[in-house]
Amino acid sequence: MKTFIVTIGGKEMTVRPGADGEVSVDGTLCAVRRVSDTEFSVIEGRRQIRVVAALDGETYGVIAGGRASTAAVESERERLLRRYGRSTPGTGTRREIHAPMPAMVIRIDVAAGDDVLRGQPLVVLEAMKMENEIVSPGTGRVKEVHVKAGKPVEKGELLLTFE
Amino acid sequence: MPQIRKILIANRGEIALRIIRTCREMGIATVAVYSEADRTSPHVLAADEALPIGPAPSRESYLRIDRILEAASASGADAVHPGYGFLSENPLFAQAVADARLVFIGPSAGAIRSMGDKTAARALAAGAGVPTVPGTPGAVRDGADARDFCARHGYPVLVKAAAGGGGKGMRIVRSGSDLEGALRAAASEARSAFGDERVFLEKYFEEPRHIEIQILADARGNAVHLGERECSIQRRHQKVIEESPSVAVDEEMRRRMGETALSVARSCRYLNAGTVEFLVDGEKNFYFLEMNTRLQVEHPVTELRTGLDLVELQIRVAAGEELPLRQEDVAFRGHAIECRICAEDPSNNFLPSTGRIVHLRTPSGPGVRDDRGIDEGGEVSVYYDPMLAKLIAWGPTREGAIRRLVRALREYEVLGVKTNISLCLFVLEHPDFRSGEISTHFLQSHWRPEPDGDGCAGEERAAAAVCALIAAGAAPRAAHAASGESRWKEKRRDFLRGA
Repeated sequence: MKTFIVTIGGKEMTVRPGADGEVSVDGTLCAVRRVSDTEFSVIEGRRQIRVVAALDGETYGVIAGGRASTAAVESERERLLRRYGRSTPGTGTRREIHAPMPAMVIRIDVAAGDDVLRGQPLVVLEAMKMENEIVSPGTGRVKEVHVKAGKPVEKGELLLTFE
Repeated sequence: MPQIRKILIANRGEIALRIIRTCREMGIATVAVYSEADRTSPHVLAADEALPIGPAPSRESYLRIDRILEAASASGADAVHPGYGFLSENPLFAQAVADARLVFIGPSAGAIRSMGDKTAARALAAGAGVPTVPGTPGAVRDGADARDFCARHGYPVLVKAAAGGGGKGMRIVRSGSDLEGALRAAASEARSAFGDERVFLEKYFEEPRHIEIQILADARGNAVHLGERECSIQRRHQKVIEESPSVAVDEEMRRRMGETALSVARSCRYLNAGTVEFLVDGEKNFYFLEMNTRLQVEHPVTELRTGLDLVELQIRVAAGEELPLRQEDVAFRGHAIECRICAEDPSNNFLPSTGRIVHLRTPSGPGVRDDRGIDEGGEVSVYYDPMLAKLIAWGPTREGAIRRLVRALREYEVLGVKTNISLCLFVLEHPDFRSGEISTHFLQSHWRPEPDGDGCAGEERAAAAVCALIAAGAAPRAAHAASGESRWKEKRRDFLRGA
C-alpha cells in the first residue's frame, strides 16, 4: 500500500495504511473502523477516538475527539512531483488569491506593483450582508488585480496574483 | 379579542422553526413563506402550509412586504409573526399587517418607529429620565459636525448607523485621522444593509459590558421584566455568547435595570416582547443603548432561566390576553448560556463559509437545547445569515452551565462548511471567561487564531489515519455498519460498480 504525508495544523505525519484498517501513523499503530460514510472509530492501544471526515475540495474536513481541523493528504509520489514541479495552492507559497464565496467587490486596497505584508488587507468583499476583508496570506508584490470594485465575483474567481 | 388560529411566519431558518414549535403546542396552524432557495428548507418542511414569495435574494423575497401579505391573505392567516431580522423592525411592515386587518405579533408600528431611529429612541429614553451614553443629538451631516463632537467629548468615539442593528454600519474611531474614513465606511455599509446611510456618533467606553433586559407588556397596561442577559462576548459587534444571570449584576442592580427598562417601554407605550440594551461601565453604571422591538436571537437563555415560553406569551399578548404573571411571579432558576454556531472560518479572518452540510450530528442529553435551522444535506448559501444554530445549556450554577455547553459543543459535528465552534470553545475554556472578567473587547484582546488541529497528538494521529485511508480508497466498513444503510442499497452500489 502507498505511503501518505498528512498535514494537520502545519504538522506533517507519515501514514501507511495496511490491511483491515490497520494504519501506521509515524510508527504508531491505529485500528480504524468505518461506521458510516463520514464516521469512523479509531482505537490506538485502548484509547478510542471518534473521527468524522469528508473530502472538501482539495483538503479534508475532519473532526477528531471534538476538535475540527483541516487535513491535506499527499501520496509520496505526489509530494515528489510537487517538490520538483510547481507548487500546489494551500501547501507552498500562494501566488493567487481567489474569492472564498460569491460576493460583491466593495473596495480594492492594493494595485499592481504594490509590496504587501502578511495580514495586510487586499480586497473588501461584501457577502451575507457583511463586509469581509481578504488579507494577504504572505509577504510579496502584487502582480495584477483581476477584479473591479462594484462588480460581483463568483466563488473561486481569481481576485489577484502575486509575483 | 381577536382569535388566533393560523399564523404566518414571515421568516426562515431556526427562528421560523422555533415559532412553529410553539404554534404546534398551542394548536395553532402554521404558514411558512419561502424563497426559491428555501423550497426544501427545514422551516418549510415543518409548516402546515407553505407559499413561495420570490427569488433567493432576501430583497426579492423575505423583505417583500407585498408578497408576504399576499401569502397571508391567500392562506387565511389571522396573524403574522415576524421573527427577528428581515422585516421584524420595519414599521411599514407592522402597519401594513395591521391595515390588512391581521394581528402583528409585536409592538405597534408607532413604537417600532420611535425605537427604530436610534437617535430618536435615545432622546425619548433621556426624556423618561433614563441615563444614556453621550452622543450627537441627530445624524451627523458632515465631517465638521463629527469633529466638533469629538473635540467636546474626546476619543474614542463610535460611528453607528441611525437605522442600524446587528453591528452593521459600525466603526470605532480612536484618532482624528481615522474619522473621515470611518464615517465613509459606516455610511456605505449602512446604505447597503438598511438603505439609509445616516450615521451618528457616540462616546465610546473602553471595557464595557453589554447587558440587556427582556421585557413583556400586554395591552392592558401590565408589564414585567424577565431579568438580564449578558452579551459581552461579541465579534465585530455581533453577539457570540450570551448568558443569564450576568456575574456583574446583583439583585439590587437587576431591580433597578428592570425598572429602567420598563420605563423605556412605557415611554413608547410598548406592547409585546422587547429588549432594552444597556452598556455597563467598570463602576456598574448603566446607560441605555437601544431597544430591540422584537424577539431576540438569544431569547432561549431567558426561557431556560425562567421556564417561560416567550413565543407563547407573545402570541397570547398579541391576541389581547392579559399577561399571566406579575413581576413577583417571575422566578429565576440556575444559569443558562447560549453560543451562536455560525458558518465562518475563525482561523481565516472569520470569512463566511458556504457549501453543503455533508455531515451533521448534534448534541443532546441533560440541560442542552439546540435551536437549529439547517439539516444534513442542506446548503449554506451566501444569501442569508451565516448562523447555523444556537446551542444553549442550562445548569444549576454558572460553572455547571459552562461545563455542559463545552461538553455539548464537543458533540456538535459539522462537515461541509467551516464553523466557529473552536472559537466558542476557546471562550468557554478561557480563565477570564470562567472568572467572569469579560467585556465587549474580550475577543479582540484574547482571541488569536491558532493553527487548526492544535489539539492533542492522539487526535491528530487518528485524524491522519482516517484521511489517509479515505485517500487510499481502503476504509473498511465495520461488520455492523451495514445496518446504517440497507443491504439493498449496498448491493445496488456494488452492482453499479460492477462488483
